[in-house]
Amino acid sequence: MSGAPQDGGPGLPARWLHVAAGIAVALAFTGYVAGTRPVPERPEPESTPGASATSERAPSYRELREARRGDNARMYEGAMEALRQGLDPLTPTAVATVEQRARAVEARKAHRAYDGAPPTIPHEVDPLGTPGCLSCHGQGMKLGERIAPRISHPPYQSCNQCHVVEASPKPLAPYPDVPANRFVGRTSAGGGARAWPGAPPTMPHAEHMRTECASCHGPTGKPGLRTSHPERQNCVQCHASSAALDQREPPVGLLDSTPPPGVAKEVP
Amino acid sequence: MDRRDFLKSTAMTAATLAASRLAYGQAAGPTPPVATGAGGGVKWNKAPCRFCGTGCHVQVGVEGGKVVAIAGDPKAEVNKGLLCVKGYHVGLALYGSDRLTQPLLRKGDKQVPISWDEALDVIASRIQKDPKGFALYGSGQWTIPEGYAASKLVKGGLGSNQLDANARLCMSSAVTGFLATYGVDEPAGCYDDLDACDVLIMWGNNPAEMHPVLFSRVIDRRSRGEKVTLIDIGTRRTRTSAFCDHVLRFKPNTDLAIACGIAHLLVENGTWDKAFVDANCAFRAPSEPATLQGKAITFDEYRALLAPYTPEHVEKLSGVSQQDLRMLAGLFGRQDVRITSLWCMGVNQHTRGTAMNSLIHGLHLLSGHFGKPGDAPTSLTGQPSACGTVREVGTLAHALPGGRVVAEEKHRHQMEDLWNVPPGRISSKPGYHTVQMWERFSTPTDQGGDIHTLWVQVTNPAQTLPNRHKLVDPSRKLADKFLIVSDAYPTETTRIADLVLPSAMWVEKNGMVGNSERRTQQWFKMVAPPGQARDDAWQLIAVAHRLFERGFEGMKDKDGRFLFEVKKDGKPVPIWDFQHYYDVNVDAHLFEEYRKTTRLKHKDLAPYEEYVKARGLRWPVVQQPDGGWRETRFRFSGFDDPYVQEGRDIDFYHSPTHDGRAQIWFNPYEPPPESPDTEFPFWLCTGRVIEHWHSGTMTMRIPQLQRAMPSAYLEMNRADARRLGVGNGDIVTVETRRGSLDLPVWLGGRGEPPEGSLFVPFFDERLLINELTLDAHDPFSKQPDYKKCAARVRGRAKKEARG
Amino acid sequence: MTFSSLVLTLEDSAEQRAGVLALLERDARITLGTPLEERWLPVVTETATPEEGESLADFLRELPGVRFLDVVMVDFSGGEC
Repeated sequence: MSGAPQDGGPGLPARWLHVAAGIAVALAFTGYVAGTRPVPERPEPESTPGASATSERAPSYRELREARRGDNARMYEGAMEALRQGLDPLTPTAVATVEQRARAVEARKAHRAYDGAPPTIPHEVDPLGTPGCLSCHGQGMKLGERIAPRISHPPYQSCNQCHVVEASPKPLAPYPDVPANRFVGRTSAGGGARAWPGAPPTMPHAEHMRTECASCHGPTGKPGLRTSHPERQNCVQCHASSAALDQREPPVGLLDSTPPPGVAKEVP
Repeated sequence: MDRRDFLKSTAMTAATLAASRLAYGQAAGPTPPVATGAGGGVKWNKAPCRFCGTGCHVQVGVEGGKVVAIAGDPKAEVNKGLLCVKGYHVGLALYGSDRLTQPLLRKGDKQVPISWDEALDVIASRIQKDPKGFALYGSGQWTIPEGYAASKLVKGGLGSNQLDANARLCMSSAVTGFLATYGVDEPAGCYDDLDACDVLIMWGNNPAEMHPVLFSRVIDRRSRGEKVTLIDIGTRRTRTSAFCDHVLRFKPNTDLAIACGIAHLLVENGTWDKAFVDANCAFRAPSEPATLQGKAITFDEYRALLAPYTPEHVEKLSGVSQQDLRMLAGLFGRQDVRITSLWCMGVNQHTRGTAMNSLIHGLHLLSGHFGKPGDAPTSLTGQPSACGTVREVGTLAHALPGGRVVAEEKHRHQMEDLWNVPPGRISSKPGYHTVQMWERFSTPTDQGGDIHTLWVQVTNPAQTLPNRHKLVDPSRKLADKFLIVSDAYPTETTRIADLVLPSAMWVEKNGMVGNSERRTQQWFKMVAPPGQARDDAWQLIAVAHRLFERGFEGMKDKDGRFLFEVKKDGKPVPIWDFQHYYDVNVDAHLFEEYRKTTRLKHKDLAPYEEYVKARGLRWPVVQQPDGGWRETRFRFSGFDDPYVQEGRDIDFYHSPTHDGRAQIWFNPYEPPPESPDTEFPFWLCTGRVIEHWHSGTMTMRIPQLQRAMPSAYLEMNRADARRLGVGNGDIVTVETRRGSLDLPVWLGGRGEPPEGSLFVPFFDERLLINELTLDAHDPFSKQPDYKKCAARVRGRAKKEARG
Repeated sequence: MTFSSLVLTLEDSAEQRAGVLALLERDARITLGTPLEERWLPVVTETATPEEGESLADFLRELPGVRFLDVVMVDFSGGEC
């Protein structure tokens, strides 16, 4: 099906579109039904086991991706670029309300053990190969209402060293009866301190490893966290980082380093 | 001072003050100590991560007496601010809702709460009944002071050597490999090699999941534009393979043939480093009967022994192509590249583990890829203090602290002097090693089962020992056998215990550990343990004091004082009373005493307070003329190691032959003890996953980790799955000659074994794969092979059809 | 003479930082303090006039390797001596 149709009047593309849309709807419907139906028990193998070995096998997604040749090769070329458009409307936005901020904090909590923890991954991933996280998260992407936030820290290649999926990967069943965990993490960094009303707030969280503020605070960030002035790009010009949170405490000797309270420092 | 100078210095003071405000958020200078807390009163402090042997440092955020956040520590050289997913969630390990919070004593078939006072009485009475029949089984997760206190209690106090640790099952082939080659344990190189190497060879190793921070340290160099060649020599495709330039698949057990094949090519091509070998090495081969020392051979004999390992022959044995073998030999033969080798359980849990460890060291020595930054054979450890506690303190049946052995009279006298106990207190007879210890415990007393009481700390042997049915379970049916278990959570082992003691863990106590690169690390207690959970070291000292109160001679030193006496302002502090345990820093006292034992093997440690300041220091740490303390990165290398003889580039000063030479071993390939056949046609390999730490006691209680990897599974090749007619998620039965287990199949999952191979992770306490694995072990290290045996797979439907 | 107290915030890159330090050391008008955390560098400039001080500060601000320049204090009394 390579190449455009050779002949035909102006009606043809429209008809093509109709057919394609019809197929898409049919596919979506089948997918919906298949997805909501309970997974059928694997039937008892009545036929000879040889049958499954000889039948044609549908290629896996990984195999498709690896197949750079054939009819579907390069079909997504340029698609990523198109999806990235619309991420940079650098016009001032409204200042977040308290309520929006609370909602944003709540939404963040769902994917993090504590404020500052690497977020878990809210979608399925390839559990083996080199992760392809950066193809969407490298530059950030918007697909309808779904947003792939741009990576906030330098692109470490081994993404799944720190980020794991948040639902049991198929086909593994969730573990039943796990003891609860009573850890209560810091849920929110809170607002940054202001020297006086109207002064730019300081960063309430660590800057360590994170350089791309727009990942959370840019126009595609959660409404409660968005900056009101996305046109200004050099955030650290006005918003000071916290020495304590960035672990820039003075070197030993400059200030006395003491063990936490209640812990003996005495040494023989 | 003229006016100009005055103005200038005033201006500089102002500028410096302003700079320090920017840098530290406060003025520098002699201001009173300011809590570093910010962001809602969170206080931060350093600690090494609780989990693996990498030894990353984390910053622990504490608020309201609880850990509330974790951050990577950018000041730590090991991890430079980065962690892995386990490390980022390590704080949650303290807060599983089923923490043990009070001592429990078995009465009938119930475990009922008792007081600590009663618990100490029970233990003291068990010991007094027959001190020589009391044994202590510890762990590579013991802190250094805990391990030292255990050694002093058993060897200096009870006068027996019934002390061993779980590291016997995971690192012992690495130890025997080091001893056979260099005459002294632990790696010469360090993690700095990862920053300098041009080639990284991973032998049966999957650091992308098991040592992820070290792996990132290498692949992140690539993102910065450096060229590093990564080579995966393994038996299955892993996350590590995905990043590698060369992926070499070999048939299980043939890694020895590959190593011999490379050595053969180096010798035949004349590309081995003759100058390095002439100056620093000698050749060695297995003797009859086999010993760890082997027999000396000449270079010509070495060459002749290698002769059969032609590329053609090795290709046939291993399945690795001649071209790839020549590529590896070509790299080792080049002097302009730096080569680092990494290995861990693939090489150690191997019936030929000692031999394979020695062969990798031998390749680096033969080719001169040794002792320069980036040129190193580096064995990785699993547990956070397998090196620091088990290997260095020596919590083993034959060992004494600081590399000493009970068999040597001089060593016993040195320790008796340090502990101020009468001569002859320390027994010259080694105790039982792990398997024997449990065997004796599970044998009736009248049939030679002379261990009547066994105390387990910081490990879960009922899940991790091989042959539980033989080693553990019989003791539970013998009325006079008593099992004591200290742990933080209920485990397979606490469930069958007679006495359960609740333990404090990680930052609920002070601690010190030693990682894979000889780095000793320290942390302070930051939060209180729950309920009546208490430090493991306190538990040991409190039992010692209960015996002392009862007049037990062994707990007194020569002058009649308590063996663990700690004085403050000239007066003994009652540290056996937990209320007073933190009146002094007991860890610091134990460590300062232990430190005196470390010079013998040139593993010198610095004073405690140096470790308070540092993010760990690598031994030998030697005092400088200016009073400062300097760590050693490259051991045996003249440019860095202060113990190398003046003027030498390399000096193996603990050489097994006492002439400064390391041994290049020839070890032949031998077929594995069990291979697939028509009845059991698959290879079965077991291992770990990134989310879970060992038996899962901690990580299965962390929701983020448990959800991401909820259960064990069977990994197999798609072609095999098609042939057997099983699909993704089907439950199948895996069988070996030793047992069977039902598991879900995961195709295209975490790894991808080649056709004819299976893989199952071992973290899941409901699905214990270790009951299927082989109990054959290495002849020298006694370490079992968990990595290869013959298995078969049956669809469950078929099984049900057969009834 | 005019003395100005400045703090330079340097870039993260070690190479750029070394470049800046090497350049500043060559300028006789500039006295360097001890950099804190390798990043915040206290500096005193000594110029004939406040105007020259200002233009020197502008020059420093634009240097590659300097992220920010904070003016802490300018001593205008110098004109009298």
